[in-house]
Amino acid sequence: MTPAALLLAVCLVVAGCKAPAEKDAVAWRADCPSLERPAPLSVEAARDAYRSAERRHALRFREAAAPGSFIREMHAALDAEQIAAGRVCLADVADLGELLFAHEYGLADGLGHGPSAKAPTGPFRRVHQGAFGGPETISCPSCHWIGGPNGAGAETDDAFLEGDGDRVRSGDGRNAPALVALGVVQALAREMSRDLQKQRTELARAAADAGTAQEIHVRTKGVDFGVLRATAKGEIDPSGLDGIDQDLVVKPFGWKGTRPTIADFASEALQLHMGVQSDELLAHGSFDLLGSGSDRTDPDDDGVRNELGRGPFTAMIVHLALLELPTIEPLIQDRDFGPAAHALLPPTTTSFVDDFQRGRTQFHTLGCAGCHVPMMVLTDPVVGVEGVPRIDLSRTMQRPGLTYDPAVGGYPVWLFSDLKRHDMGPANEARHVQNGVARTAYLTPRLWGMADSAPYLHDGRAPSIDYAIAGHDGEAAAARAAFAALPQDEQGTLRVYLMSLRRTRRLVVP
Amino acid sequence: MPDVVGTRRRLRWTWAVAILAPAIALAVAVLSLHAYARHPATDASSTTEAAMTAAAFALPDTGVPEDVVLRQQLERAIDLRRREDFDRMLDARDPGELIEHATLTDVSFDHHDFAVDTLFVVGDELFGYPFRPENGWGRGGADRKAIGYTPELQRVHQGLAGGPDAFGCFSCHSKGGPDGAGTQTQNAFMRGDGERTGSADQRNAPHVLGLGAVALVAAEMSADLHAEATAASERAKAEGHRIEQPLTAKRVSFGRIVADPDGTRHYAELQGVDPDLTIRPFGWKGHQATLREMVEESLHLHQGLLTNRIQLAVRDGTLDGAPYGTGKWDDLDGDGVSLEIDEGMLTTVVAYLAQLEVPVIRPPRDPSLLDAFAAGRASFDAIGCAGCHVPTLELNDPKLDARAPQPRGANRPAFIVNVAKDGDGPKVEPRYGGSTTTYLVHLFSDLKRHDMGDGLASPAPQGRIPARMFLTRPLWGLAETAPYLHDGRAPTVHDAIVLHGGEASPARDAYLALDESGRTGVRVFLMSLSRQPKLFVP
Repeated sequence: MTPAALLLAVCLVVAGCKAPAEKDAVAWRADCPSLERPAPLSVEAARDAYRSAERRHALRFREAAAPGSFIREMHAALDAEQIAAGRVCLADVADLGELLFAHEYGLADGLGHGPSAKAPTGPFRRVHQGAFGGPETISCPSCHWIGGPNGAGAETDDAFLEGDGDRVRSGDGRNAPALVALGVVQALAREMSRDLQKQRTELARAAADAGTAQEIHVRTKGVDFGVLRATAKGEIDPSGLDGIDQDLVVKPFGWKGTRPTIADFASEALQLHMGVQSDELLAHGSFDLLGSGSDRTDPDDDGVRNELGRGPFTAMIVHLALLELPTIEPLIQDRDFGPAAHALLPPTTTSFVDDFQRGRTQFHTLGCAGCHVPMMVLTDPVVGVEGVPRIDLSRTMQRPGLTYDPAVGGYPVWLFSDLKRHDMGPANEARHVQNGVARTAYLTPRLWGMADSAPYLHDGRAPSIDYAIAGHDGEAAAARAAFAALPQDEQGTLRVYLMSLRRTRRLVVP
Repeated sequence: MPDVVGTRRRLRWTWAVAILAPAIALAVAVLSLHAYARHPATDASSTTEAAMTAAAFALPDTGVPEDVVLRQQLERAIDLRRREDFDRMLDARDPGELIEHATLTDVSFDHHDFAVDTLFVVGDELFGYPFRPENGWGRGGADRKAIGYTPELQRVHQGLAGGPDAFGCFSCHSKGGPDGAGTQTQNAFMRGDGERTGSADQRNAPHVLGLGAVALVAAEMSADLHAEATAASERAKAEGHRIEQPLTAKRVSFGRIVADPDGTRHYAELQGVDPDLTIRPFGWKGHQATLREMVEESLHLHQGLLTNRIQLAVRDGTLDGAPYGTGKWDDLDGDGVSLEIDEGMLTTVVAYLAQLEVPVIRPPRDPSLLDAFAAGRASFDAIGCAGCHVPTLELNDPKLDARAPQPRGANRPAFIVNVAKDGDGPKVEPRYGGSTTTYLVHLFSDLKRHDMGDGLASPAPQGRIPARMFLTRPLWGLAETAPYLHDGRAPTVHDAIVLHGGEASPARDAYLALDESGRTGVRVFLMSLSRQPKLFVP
C-alpha cells in the first residue's frame, strides 16, 4: 500500500467516523438557567400561574393592536437554525412553544382556507370535508382543556373526520385525548419499532443464510405483534403481522395509531382543525391534505404564506414532548407538593385504599391488562425531535418525569397500553378506512390520566367508566362481559382503581 | 343535607382586592407612562432582535397578588379540588352517590334554611357534573340495560326536541375559566334536521358570569315598561282620548305604545321588546326572561333532562308535550327515568349562577397600549358602539329569589341571593347615594333586540323573533370568549365588528372609517373587557 493510499484510507475513515460523531455532538448550550420548576401547588407555582396569565393578557392586547403580530414575533424569536444548533435554551424554546400551543389563530395568521376565509358566514366548517379537514376552531386548547392545560376534549369538541362537510354521520367522530407525556410515548414507540425492525433484519438474514423459509413471532417490550415470515431467499412476508403496519413502525398517535411522531400528528392537526399550514406540512403533506391552490407555497389559497415556519413549529413540538407523566396514586406517587397542599392527598391513599388494591387485582383478572398493558420499560430516555438537539427527557421533562429503576433496568412508563391495534368490533366501526387502518381497528388508548379526561372512547360517547367499558367490543368483548358479570361491589373497586390514574394537580390562572 | 355543607368559608373580601387591583394597575401604568415619556430613548441599535423578542415574551411580575392573598386563593383552590376529587371517587365507587348528594328537593327548601354558600357548592357540583342515562340523560329508544349499551349523542338538534349534544353544562361553558364561554367546536346546532349542520341555527355558548345581576336589571326594566304602559292606559281612560306613550327603561328607549280610552293598546311602534313588555335578557335572541327558564331549557335541549314542572305542565295540558317526547307525562322522553330534574335542583343551579362573579375591566399595563385603550374607550362612545352596547345599567335591588314563581295564594319561603354580596367576587359595583345604594352593572348591553341585517340573519325566525333580530350581546368578559358573534363565525373582534349589519351598520362604517390607530384603540379597549384572574386547580 502506498503512503498516498494509506493517507486516503485514513482520511476516509476519519471523515466517515467523524461526521456522525459531530452530528451527535450537537448539544444544547450549557449556560442555560435550570429547568427546575417550582413544586406544584406551592406559592411559587401560584406566582408563576399569575405571571403566565398576565403575559397572556398582555399578548392579547398586542395581538388586538396589531393582528398577526404574535406569529410574526414568534418567527423572529425562534430561528430554526439557532435551535437546530442548540444555541438557545431548551426551557425558552418550550416556553414559547407553550404560547404557540395556546395561540388563537386569526385570518391574518392563515386560519382557514381561501374560499372559507372570505365567506360572510365565517371560515369554519364543523364537519370535515374529505382529507382536507375543517377548520372547526381557532386554537389547540379549544379541544384540549379538560383536566387542565393540554388536556382532553369534551364530547362537544368531537372532530368529524373525512366527512362531506355537512352531515355529522358522514364523518368519523373523534374525541381529543389529553396530551400527556408525548415525548415519552414517542421515545417508547421508537424503541419498539427499532426492536421489531432488528428482528426483521435478523430473520431475513437467518432465512437467507440457512436457505430455508422461516417464521417468528415478533415481540417487543412484552407485546406480540404476530408472525413475520421470510422465504428461503430472505424475502420478508409481513402478512401475518397483527396490530401494526407492515413497515413495523409503531405509531402511537391518533385513535387509530396512524402517526409515529408528535410532529407528524401536530402538523396534520393544525391543518385539519385550524387550516394552519406549517412548513413541516408543506414539506411532507399530501395534495388532498394541503389543498389544490396553484401557488404551492400557499396551497390553501388564503393569501397567507409561511403560516408556521420551522422555528415556531419546532418550539411547539418541544413543548408537547416535555409534558408530564400522569400518576397512579398511591402506586406511582407524586408527593412533590408545596407545604400548602398536603391536604390534597388523593382519595385512593386515604378512604379508598382497600378498593384500590382489589380493583388493581380485578384489572388483571378481568383481562383488561391484556391490551391495557400497565407498564413498559423505556431504555433510553432520549427523544428525537427533528430540528433540535437530542432531548434527554429524564432531565428535562415536566414533573412528574422519568425515574430510573435499577430493578427493571430502565425507566418504567405506566401508560396502560400495548401501543398495538385491536379489533374493537362492530360497535366501534368507523365510516372510513383511515390511513389504511381497518374500520374496526383502534390503537389501545393509554389509560393514564383517565380520571381527568372523561368522556371516554374514540367518539367521546361514554360519560363514565361504566359506559366506556360497555363500549368495548370485538377482541375486548370478553373483558367487557367479565366486568358485567361482577357483583356491583367488585365493579366499584375496578372503577376506583381506574380513577387513581390521574394527572398531577397543578395551579392555573385561566 | 349534603355532607359538603360548611366545608368552606367563602372569602368575600377578596373581591374588594380584585376590584382595587385594576385601579392600582392603572395608576402604576400611568405613572410609568410619565417615566417612560421622560426617557423615551431606547437605543434600538444596541439591542439585538432576539433580545427584544425575548423581552416581549418575558414573564412579568406585575399582577402577582400579595402573598397573603395568594395563600388564601391557594387554600381555596386546593379545597375545591379536594372536595371534587373525593366526590368523584365516591361516585366511581358507588355510582349515583354524587347526584344524590347534589339533589336538594323543592320540598326541602320549604323546610330548611340552606345557606347561600351551600347552594354555591352544590350548584357548582351540578354545573360540572356529566349527566348519564341513569340520571335521565337523553331520551328512550335503546335498551339501556343491555351489556353493550352506550349513550348516543345527537350533535345536530332535531327541531325543538334538541339533542342531546352534551353531558354537562361545563361541556360548553369553560373557555377562559370555569363558567366561561364555549369554543367554536362547542357550538350548538339548533332547530336542525338532526343530521346536517347546514340545516341548523348555530349558537356559540356565551359565558355565564354576572347573570344574576342581568336577570334583576331586566326584571326592573320590565317593571318600568309595564308601569309606563299602565299609566298611559289609565291616562287615556281618564282623559278620554288616545295617548301615545314613549317607553323608556333605564334610559333605554323601547319605542312607544298607543293607548286607547277603551283600554286597547297598540304595539306597532314598539322596539326591541315583546308586546308583553317583558325584557328577555337570555339567549342570543333574547328569548328567556329568567335564569330558571334558561337553565330548564338548556337541560332539555342539550342533555335531554326534563324538569318536574315540564312533566306536570304537559300532564295538565298547559304545555305542548311534542318537543319533549311521546311518552306518558311522568316519562315523556321514554328513557325509563321519571324523576330527572327536581325543581329544587333548578333552584340550586339558579342560586349558584346568581352568585358567580361579574367580569371586570383590566386595562393594559404597557404605556403605549394604555393610551390606545383610553382613546378606544372614547371612540367606543363616539362611533356609536355604546348606542346599543350601553356600558352600564343601574340596578336598584340586588336580591334575587332563586325559587320558582309562587302559585297565587301560596306562601312558601323564598330563597334569596344577594347578587351584590353573595358568592364569588368581584361583584357589581355599589353606588352610594345618601339613603339608597344602587349597583352599577357594567355589562355593555341595552338588553334590547335590534335588526342585525341579512348577513347575520338566522335561517329562520326563532319562535316570534324574526331572523334578523338579536339581543345586544353583553360585551363584559369578552376578552376570553373568542370566537365572537352568535355562531362564533368571527375569530377576532375586528372580524366581529366588520360583520355587524342592519342597525349597527353606521357604527361599523364609523369604525372602518377610523385610521389604523383609531381602530387599534377600539380593539384594545374591547380586550380590556375581561375577568378577574384567579387560581384554580383544574
